[in-house]
Amino acid sequence: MLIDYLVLTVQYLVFPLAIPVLLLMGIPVAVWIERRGAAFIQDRVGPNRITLFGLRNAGILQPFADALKLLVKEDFLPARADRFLYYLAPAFSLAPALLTFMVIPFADVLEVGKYKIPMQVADLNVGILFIFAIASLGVFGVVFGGWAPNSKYSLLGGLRSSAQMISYEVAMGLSVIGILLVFESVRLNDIVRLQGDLLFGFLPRWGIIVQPLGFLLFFVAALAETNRIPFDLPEAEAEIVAGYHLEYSSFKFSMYFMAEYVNMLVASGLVTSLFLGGWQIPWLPTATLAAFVGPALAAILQATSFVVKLWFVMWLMVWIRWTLPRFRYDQLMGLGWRVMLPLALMNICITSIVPFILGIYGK
Amino acid sequence: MLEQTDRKEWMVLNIGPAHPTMHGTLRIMVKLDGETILEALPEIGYLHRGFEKGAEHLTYQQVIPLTDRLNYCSAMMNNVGYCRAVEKLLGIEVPRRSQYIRVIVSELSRIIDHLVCIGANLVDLGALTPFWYCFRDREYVYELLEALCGARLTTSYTRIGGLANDLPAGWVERCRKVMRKNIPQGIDEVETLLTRNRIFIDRAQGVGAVSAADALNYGFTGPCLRASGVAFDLRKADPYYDYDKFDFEIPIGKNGDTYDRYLVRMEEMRQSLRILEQALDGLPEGPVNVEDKRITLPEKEKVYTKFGALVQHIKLVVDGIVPPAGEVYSATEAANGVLGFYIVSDGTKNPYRIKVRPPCFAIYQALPKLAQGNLIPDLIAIIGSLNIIAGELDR
Amino acid sequence: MMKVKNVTPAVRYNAKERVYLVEILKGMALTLQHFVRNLVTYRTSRQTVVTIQYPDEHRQYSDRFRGKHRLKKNPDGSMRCVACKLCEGNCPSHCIHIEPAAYPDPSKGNYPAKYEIDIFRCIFCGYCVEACPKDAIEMTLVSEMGTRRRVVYDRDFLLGGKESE
Repeated sequence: MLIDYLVLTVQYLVFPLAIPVLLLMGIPVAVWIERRGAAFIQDRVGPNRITLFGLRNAGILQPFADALKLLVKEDFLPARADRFLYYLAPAFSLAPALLTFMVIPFADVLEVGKYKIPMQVADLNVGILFIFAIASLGVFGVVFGGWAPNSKYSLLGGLRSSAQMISYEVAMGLSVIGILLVFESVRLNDIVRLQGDLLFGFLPRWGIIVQPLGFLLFFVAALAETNRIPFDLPEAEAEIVAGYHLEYSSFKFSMYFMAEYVNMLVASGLVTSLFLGGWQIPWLPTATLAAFVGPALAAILQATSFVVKLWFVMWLMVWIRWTLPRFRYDQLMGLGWRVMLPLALMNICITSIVPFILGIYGK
Repeated sequence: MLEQTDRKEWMVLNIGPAHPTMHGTLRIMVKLDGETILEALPEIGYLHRGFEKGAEHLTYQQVIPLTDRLNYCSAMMNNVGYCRAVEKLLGIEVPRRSQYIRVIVSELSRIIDHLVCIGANLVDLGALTPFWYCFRDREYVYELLEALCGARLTTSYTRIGGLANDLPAGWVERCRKVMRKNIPQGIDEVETLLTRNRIFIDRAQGVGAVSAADALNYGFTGPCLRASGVAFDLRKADPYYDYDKFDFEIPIGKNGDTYDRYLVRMEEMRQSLRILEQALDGLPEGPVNVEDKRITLPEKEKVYTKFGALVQHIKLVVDGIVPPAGEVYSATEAANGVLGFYIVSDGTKNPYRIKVRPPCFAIYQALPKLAQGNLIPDLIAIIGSLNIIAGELDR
Repeated sequence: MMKVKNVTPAVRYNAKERVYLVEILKGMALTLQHFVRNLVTYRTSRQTVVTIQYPDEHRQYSDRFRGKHRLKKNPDGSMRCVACKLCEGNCPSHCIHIEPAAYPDPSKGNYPAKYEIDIFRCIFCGYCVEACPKDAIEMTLVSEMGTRRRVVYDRDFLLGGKESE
C-alpha cells in the first residue's frame, strides 16, 4: 500500500515538478554551450570571468550572472501599449514550450516488481499530436509580443515570426508522418522502443536510417520553429533591432529568452526521440540491460543516453547558427512552402509505397 | 519629404542614427508598404565634425592628423592622398623609397578597409562568424601599422615631403609573414563559408543592382563602380607612385549587385597582396624625405646639437610649409573609390580652403533609387555592401 | 592594355550548389575545424585563440607607440623643458598650455611654471614630440589613462611619468 502511494507520488508529483525544473536547469547549460561554442568557432575565448569560490569553471556560471542582470533591470511598460497582451505574451511563449516536453520519454518504462512507472511526465495516447497542438500555441506569444508594445519594429518582427512559425509547422508535421507510417504509432515511447530493433541484423532501426529525408526536413523545420539562424529573421538584430522582443526588458525578456532555449531543447528532444533512437542504447534493449545491471540503473543509463543525444542535437543547432547567414523573409517562406512541403509529401508517398512494393507491412 | 497624410497602407519607419548595423551614423526614413520599400530618404551629417573648416586655421602639416579621421577604416590612405595634394601644390616629388612605402601602407589599408566592409556586411546578413575572421586578420595588420608609426588607427604617418620616420628593423619580414600566411588564410576562410553558399547568393545576387550607366551618372568610383562593369581604376588610368610598374589586375563585375561588390572586394584584396609582394621586393634604398630645407624637418640629432638645424627646425615648426598661391586637385584611389583633395592656397601657412571629395558621398546618393522596391533586409544588405563610412561621408 | 579580371560567375549556381547542402557542409566542416582546434589549444597557444586576457595579459606595443606623455629630466635631475612653446604651437588640437618662467640664475634660461596637457583634447598624434628641440617630451608606452579624476595633466604629473606600465 505504501509503495503504491510512493509510486503514485513519484509519477504524479515528483516528475511533473522535477522535469520542468531540470528543463529550466538546462537553459544555463545551453547558453553556456552557445557562447563558448560560438567563441571557439570564432577564434576567441568566450566568457570566462565569473568565479565561484575562486574557480573560474570555464564560464559555466556566466548564464547565471546574465539571469541576475536581467532580473534587476527596469521593468517598463511602453506608452500606449496594450497592457493585458503585453503582460501575457511572454507567458504564452514560455508555457507551451515547457508543456511540450512533458510527453518526451527519457527512459523506458521502469518495471519494478509489479509497478510500471513511465519515464515521462505524461504518457498520453496521442503523443506527438499533443506536441504539435501545444507548439502551435507558442505562436501566440510571438503574435502578442509583436502587437502589444505598439512599436513598428516589434510589429514587423511579430508578423514575420508568426508567419514563419505557422508555415514551418506544416512542414514539420508532414515530415513526421513518415515516421508515424514506419513505426505505426503516435505514442512517443512506442516509437522509441521500436527503434531498438535491428535492420539487417546489425543496424539499429533509428529514424534517421529509415527516414533520412524526414530527419532533414524535420530538423530544418525545427530550426525555423525555434527562430534559429538560418531562420532567425524575426529577431535579426541588424535589421529590425531584435524584432518582437524589442520592447521587453527584465524578466519578460528573460522569459522570451528562456522560451527560445526551452523550445530548442524540446526540438532537440523530439529529434532525438523520433530519429536518433531516443533513450535507446544501440544493441542493448531494455530487457538485456535490466538483466545486466538491474532496472533502476538501466533507467539511469538510458536517461544518460537520451541526454547525450539531446545535447548533441543542441550542439548541431549551435554549430549551424554560427556557420550560416540568414534567409531573407520571402526566401524563407518560399523554402517552407515550395520546397519543404512538396518534399515532405514526396517523403510520405515514398514511405507508403516502398514497403508495399517490398511486401513488408504490418511489422 | 515623407509625410503621413493619407494613412492608407503604408507606414514610415525610421532606421535611425543609432542602430545595431555598424555603418556609422546614418539615418534613413523609409516609407513601407508591408515590408516593401516605396521610398527611402537618407539623411547625413550626423558625424560632421567640420574638417574642412577646421583645417583653415591649422598649418598644412597640422592637418595630417585630421585626415586620419576621414575614412577611419583605412587611415593611411587619407594621409597619402592629402600629402600628395600638398606636394603637387608645392611642385615636389617625394623620394622613391617614400613612394614605395606609401604604396605599401596604402595597399595594407585597402585590405583592412575591405575586411571591415565585408565583415560588417556579412554580420548584417546574419553570418556572424566571418566577421571575426576578418577582424582577426585586421589585428595582424594593425600590429604592423602600430610598429610603423605608433598608433593603430590614427596613424598620421606621412608628412609633406615624405614620411614621419622610416621602416623599423624587421618590419619587412613581419609584413611578408602577415601577407603570405595570415591574410590569404582569412580570405580563404570567408570564401569557404560564404561565396558559393546558396543562402548567401540568394541574399546578395540581384539585390541593389546598379547599371554601368547609372553608376557613371551618379559619380560612383571604386569597387562599387567596378562591380557594375566599368573598368576604371585610378591606379591604372592615371598611375602614380610607380603603380604602372606593378603587375596587377582590376576585378570587375557584371551586374553591380551586392554579390558582385562582395566578389570585387575579395578579389581586390588578393590583388593588393600581389602589389604588396612586388612593392616589398622592389623597395629601394634611400632617404624617405625630400631634401628641401623649406619642407622637411631636420634630423633630431642635428637639432639638438647644431644651431643651423635648430633654426631651420624652429622656422618649420612655427611657420610651417608655405606653398605658393594657387589651387590644386589631386586624387588617389582609396579603398572606396577616388578620394580627391582640392586645396586652394593663398600663399600663407594656412590653407585657404581644403575640399575633400569623399567617394562615399557620390555612392550614397544612389541609395533612394537602390532601395526602391526592395525589402528592408535588402536595404540593410545594400548599405553594407556600398561601404558607407560616416567619417568620410560627413567629414 | 589594362588587365581586367571578371569576377562574376557565369551561372548563378550549379546543380550541386542548388541543393544548399554541400556548401553548407563544407562551411560546417571549416567551423568545426576551428572549434576543435581552439578547444584543444586555447589555453596554450596564441596562434589559435587570439584573445588577449586583459587585465591578466597586456598587449605588447612597439617602441614607437604613442601613449601617455612624459616630461623628461636631465641626468642631474633638472627638467629638460625650456618652455619654448614649440610643442604648444605645433599641436593640432591646441591642448598644451605653457607659462614660462625664468630660473633665478640667468644663465640657466627658462622653465615652464605651468605645463598642462588637456587630455580630453589631445589626439595623441605625437606632433609635440616631433616639435621639441630639446628632447624634453616623449610619448611612453603607457596606454591606460582612463580616469575621470585627472583630466588635465600638469607639469609635475608629467614629470613623474613612467616609461611603460
